[in-house]
Amino acid sequence: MNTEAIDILMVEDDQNDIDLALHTLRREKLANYIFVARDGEEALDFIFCREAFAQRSFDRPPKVVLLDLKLPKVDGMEVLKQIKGDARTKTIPVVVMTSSKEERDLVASYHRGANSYIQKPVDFDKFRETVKTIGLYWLLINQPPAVESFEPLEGAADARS
Amino acid sequence: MLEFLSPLFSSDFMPHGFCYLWNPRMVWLHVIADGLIALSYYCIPVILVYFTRKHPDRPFNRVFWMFGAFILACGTTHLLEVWNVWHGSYLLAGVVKAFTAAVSVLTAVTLVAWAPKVISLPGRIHLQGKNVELQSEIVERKRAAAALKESLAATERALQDLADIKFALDQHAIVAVTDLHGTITYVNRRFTAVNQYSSEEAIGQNYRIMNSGYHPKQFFQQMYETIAHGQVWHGEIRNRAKDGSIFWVDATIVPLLDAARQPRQYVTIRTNITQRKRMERSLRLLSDCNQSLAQATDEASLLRQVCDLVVNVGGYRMAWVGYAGHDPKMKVPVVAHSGLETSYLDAAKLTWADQERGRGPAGTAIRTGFPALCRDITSDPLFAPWREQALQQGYRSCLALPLHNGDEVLGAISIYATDTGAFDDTEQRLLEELSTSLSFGIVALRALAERRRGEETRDRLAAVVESSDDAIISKSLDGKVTAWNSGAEKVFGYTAAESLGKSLDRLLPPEHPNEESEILTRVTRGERINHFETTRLRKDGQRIHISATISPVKDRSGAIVGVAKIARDITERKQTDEARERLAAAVECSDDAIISKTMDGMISSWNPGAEKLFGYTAAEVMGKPLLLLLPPDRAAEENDTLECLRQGRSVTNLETVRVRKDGLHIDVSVTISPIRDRAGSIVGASKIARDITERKRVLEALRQSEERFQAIANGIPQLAWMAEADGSVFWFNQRWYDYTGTTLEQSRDWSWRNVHDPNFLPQVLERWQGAIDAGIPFEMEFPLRGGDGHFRVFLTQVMPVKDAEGSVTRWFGTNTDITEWKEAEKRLALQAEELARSRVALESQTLLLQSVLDSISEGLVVADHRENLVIWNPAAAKIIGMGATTLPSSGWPAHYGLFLSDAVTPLAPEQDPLTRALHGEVCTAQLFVRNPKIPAGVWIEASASPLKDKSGAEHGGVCAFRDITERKKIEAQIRHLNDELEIRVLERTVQLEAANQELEAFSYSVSHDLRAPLRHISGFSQMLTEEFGPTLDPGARDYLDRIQAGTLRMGLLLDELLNLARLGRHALHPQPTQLNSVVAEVLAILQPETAGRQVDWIIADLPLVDCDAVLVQQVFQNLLVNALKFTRPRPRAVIEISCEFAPPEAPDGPLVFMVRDNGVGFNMKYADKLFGVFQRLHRTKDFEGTGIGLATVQRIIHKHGGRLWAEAEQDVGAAFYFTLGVGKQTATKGKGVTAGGRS
Repeated sequence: MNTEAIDILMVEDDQNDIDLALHTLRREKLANYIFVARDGEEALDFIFCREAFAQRSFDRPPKVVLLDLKLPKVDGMEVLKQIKGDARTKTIPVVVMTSSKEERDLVASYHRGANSYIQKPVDFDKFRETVKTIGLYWLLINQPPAVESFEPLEGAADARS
Repeated sequence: MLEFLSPLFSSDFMPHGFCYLWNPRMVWLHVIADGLIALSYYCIPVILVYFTRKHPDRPFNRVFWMFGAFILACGTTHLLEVWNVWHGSYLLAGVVKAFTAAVSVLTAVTLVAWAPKVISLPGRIHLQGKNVELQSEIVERKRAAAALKESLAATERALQDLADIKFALDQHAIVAVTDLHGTITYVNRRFTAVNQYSSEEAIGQNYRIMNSGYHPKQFFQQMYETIAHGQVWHGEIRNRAKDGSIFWVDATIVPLLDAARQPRQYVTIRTNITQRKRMERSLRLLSDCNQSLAQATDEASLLRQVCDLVVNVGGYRMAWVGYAGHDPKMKVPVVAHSGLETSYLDAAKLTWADQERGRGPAGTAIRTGFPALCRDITSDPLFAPWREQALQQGYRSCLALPLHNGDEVLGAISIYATDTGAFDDTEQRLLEELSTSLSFGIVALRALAERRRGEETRDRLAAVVESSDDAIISKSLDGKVTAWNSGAEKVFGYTAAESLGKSLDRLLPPEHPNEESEILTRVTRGERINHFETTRLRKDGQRIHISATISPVKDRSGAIVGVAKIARDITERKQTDEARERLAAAVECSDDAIISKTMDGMISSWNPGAEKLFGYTAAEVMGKPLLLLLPPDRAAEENDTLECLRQGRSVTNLETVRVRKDGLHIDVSVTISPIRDRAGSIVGASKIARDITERKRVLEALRQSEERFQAIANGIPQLAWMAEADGSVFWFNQRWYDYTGTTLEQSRDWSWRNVHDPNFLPQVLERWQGAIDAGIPFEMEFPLRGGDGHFRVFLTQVMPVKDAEGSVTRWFGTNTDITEWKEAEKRLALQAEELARSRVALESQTLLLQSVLDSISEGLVVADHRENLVIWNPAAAKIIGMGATTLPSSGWPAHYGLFLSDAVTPLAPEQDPLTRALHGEVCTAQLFVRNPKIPAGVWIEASASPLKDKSGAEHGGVCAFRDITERKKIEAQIRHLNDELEIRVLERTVQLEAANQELEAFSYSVSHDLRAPLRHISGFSQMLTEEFGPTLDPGARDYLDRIQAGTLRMGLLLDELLNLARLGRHALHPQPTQLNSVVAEVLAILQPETAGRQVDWIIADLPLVDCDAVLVQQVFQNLLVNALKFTRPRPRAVIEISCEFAPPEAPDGPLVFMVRDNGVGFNMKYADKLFGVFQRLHRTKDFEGTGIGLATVQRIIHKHGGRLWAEAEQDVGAAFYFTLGVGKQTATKGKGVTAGGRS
């Protein structure tokens, strides 16, 4: 798969959830450019264009990252922290999509800069509706900033941190 | 200089020659060509100027000038072209070109505008034709000149004829010529003679100067219309001469027409017809006057009419009639006038005496009886006194004609004219005739008036006689009645028929039978008897008093032919007189001042009483103003009384102040009534004044003593009242009202019974009636009800108040509140009893105390203030091992071996508890005691306090102590155990925390890990349904649906369980919470559930409560969700939220909140299962649910330290009650229950 032009980065380790989500996105014709990362480490490699994704460029960030919190290796909270802690990636919208309804997860996610927090509904109809809405909103309605427009705003030292 | 021009000439541009490359041929070609053009251009304007000069009549000069300027400018541009070949002054060239352009545009525009005119200029051929015409005209003219000369001679002859005619005309007629505007251009000699203007004065003036103002405007309009149309006008005009004199003319106005038959000028030919006009006028005047005379009915209007005629018809300025006054000054009063006279006659002061103001025409005419004429007022010396005014009025001449009645001159009519010499002989004669007719008219009218008056007098007299109330009788000399009026009929009772022709003797009373004949004798002698009072008998036999006036009746010759008698019935008057005399006597001897006054306030009568009261004698005050008696500050009173009197009202018993003659002010009571005359109109006032100074003084003293009494009575602490002799109470003091809360109306007479205790009242009434009957003082104790409804006991004492004769006039009573005394009395008795009892008790107590001291296990020692140990009980000796010592306090610690609680440090003497108590301190201490008697030592716990006597003075100290050695040991053991326990608790806490964390991890994984598979089951089963549904048989599809339903329910259960688990971890955050807003939020959340249902919310005012708002909201939400759910079968759900104190009598008790519905309820048998997790009392089929909601509610309530319970009845409804134990819950509690919204 061409990892250069990716609209959605889905970070999810459960194949069932992946299938259900992809099924929905396909049905809604939103699944053209999706990359699924199976753990936190792969997600971070993808985002920060390293290891297997070294050929990717920061200029082409995904339009949205759908992030589960319970992940092997590096957990979702850490992934979120790193994305939002780096000037190059902090503008990428991250939607936390998890089974947890814990208040502390919700608060912690927003504290770390999540753009949205969504509990995966048990009811598949609702789940489908949720995924569809997320796809429509972040891919079609939301207006992301141009990548370079952020550089001058940040200090040079800031950009490396 | 000219520096500003330099930019024009100095130039940085290169000369134009460079363009020609300084090629000499080229340069010179341009220079010569431009030069020649310029030269020829400059020539053209010169020629143009020359041309215009030579033909000044030529039109379009301006165009020529402009054209010249335009060509001049063109030339200059070419000149500059030459210049610029060597110099580059292009700016200057440009400026000149611009100027040229402006001029050329202007010229072109002008030329275009003028082009049509230029085209119309005659050409040369046309001019030649004109020339031929001119030539033939000259020949014609010469021929005409010859003819003219011929006619000139004829004209001269005609002129001569005209001059002759003009002369003739001048002799007869007044001729004037005016232009079209009326300006006089010619007058003849006769004009100057008649109009008195010289021809110089007249010419140039407007013809209007002759207007006399007589003719109306229309007259002249009509005249001008006629002549303006070129027609001859003829008519009579009234003109005015220069001196203002008026004359009439017969005028002919001839308009002289020009060739177009339009008036060119007007010729006026007039002849003087004044004389004729006057004659006509006078004749008409005379005839009109005669007509008036014939029609006149009274003198005044006749005179006025004649005057009006003289002015209006006769055309005279003014006329008046004056009569000869027969007063000493012989004035001439004006009786009628007409015409302009404005105040002239008022100022004339005419007389007909032979003096200055009597020698005017009127005076003279009256005096002499002949007409008097003043031809010229301006010059007549006799008219001097009135001349100035007369001239102002425009009078110039005056004729006065006497008015005769036989030989007597009645007066004169004076006529004024505006021109001098107006009255010529003929006129005068006619006017004399007028005056004669007028005289005759006056005399005739007077005679007529005289006769009318006579008739009227007679009629009036007859009416008076007939209508008189007096008897008017006439008798013949033989005593027979010849006249008997209705008054006589009334007075004597006989009718006229009964009396006429009879004698009057039957009217005579027996005591003076001859009176009538005596009177007759006297009257026949010519005597007149006035107001003779006597008596007569009426027809009905009644005797009447009459007042008679009898006079002789004479015939024309003066012979006495009878007697006239007027008799008035004065019976009534006689009676009135008597009454008046009686009244006068009463007035004279009255002690009251009786005064009468006129309506202007003057004293008109004054009786001896008044003299006594006010000190003035009648003579001093009669006719003086009554104000004399009023003090100055009460002067207004008099006006008020007068006003009352004028309105016919009386003033009764006015209490006021008056001044005596000696200046003393006295209080009087005055009654003033109007005095009316017989006609009923008020003519004065009577005033009765009584001295009330003494009465006022007594009253004042009485009032003051009453006030004093009331003040005292109000001031005393008792209730007080007064009653009439019969016992009916009429007054209470303020305290009575204050205490009983009643008003006078509610207590007066016998109404005070209402405040008595009904049990006591019969006795009270019996004894009080007995006291009233016997007239003796009354004293009794009984309760009275206060305004607050409570009875208090009063000692009531009533004293009779007796008059001089010793009979009771009233009662004065007081009620003294003795409730307190009574109670105090009771208390005293009780105390005495108590005292006796306590003495006995004391003795036994002393014994008891001793045995207690001996038997208690505590050591008890007492020292007096001299540090003597006065008590040392056996326990003390046992504990310490020693008895009381006689050492002073400083030696006690050492003697008994006292140590501080560390058992090592010896106790300092001042630290000894008993010593400290002796110094007034209260203290406790643990001490160690070791002395030779107790070598092992003991621990004691001592408490000491000073001893005080009843007055609080310290007089010693007491110290109690006990052996705590054993306790000390146990304490040590306990402390050891405690330490162990703490360690154990710590261990348990760690374990608990670990468990807690485990639990948390568990719930977290429940939340996350258990949900994921559920989601997958749901997702894939759904996908299966959707993608393969059509190929599956219905049974398989049903199973899939059930899987789906199962997963959803599982998800719900998980969520609820997580909630419950979270609650356990949730720390309580109590804060003051307004429960109503919490409920409102819940209702908002539940809004969708109530859609389409009818729900009546009844929500009370809930208090502000300290609780965890989030959790309590959950409580309300769960309870209300349940209530909504279980009321679903009801057509109308009623859900009520309220709060109540339980029990209601104890407002500090916990608040009980209630949520009640009218739903399906439940069986109370299962109430204990209600709050268990997963416990349900209804089938899921009927009412969905997890069975966790109420468990959650219970957990929250318990967390708050509250209680939750439910009451229900199957199919009726359920009520859930709970309390919230946390914090204060009594902040505010709403009163009523308000109906909530209905959805």
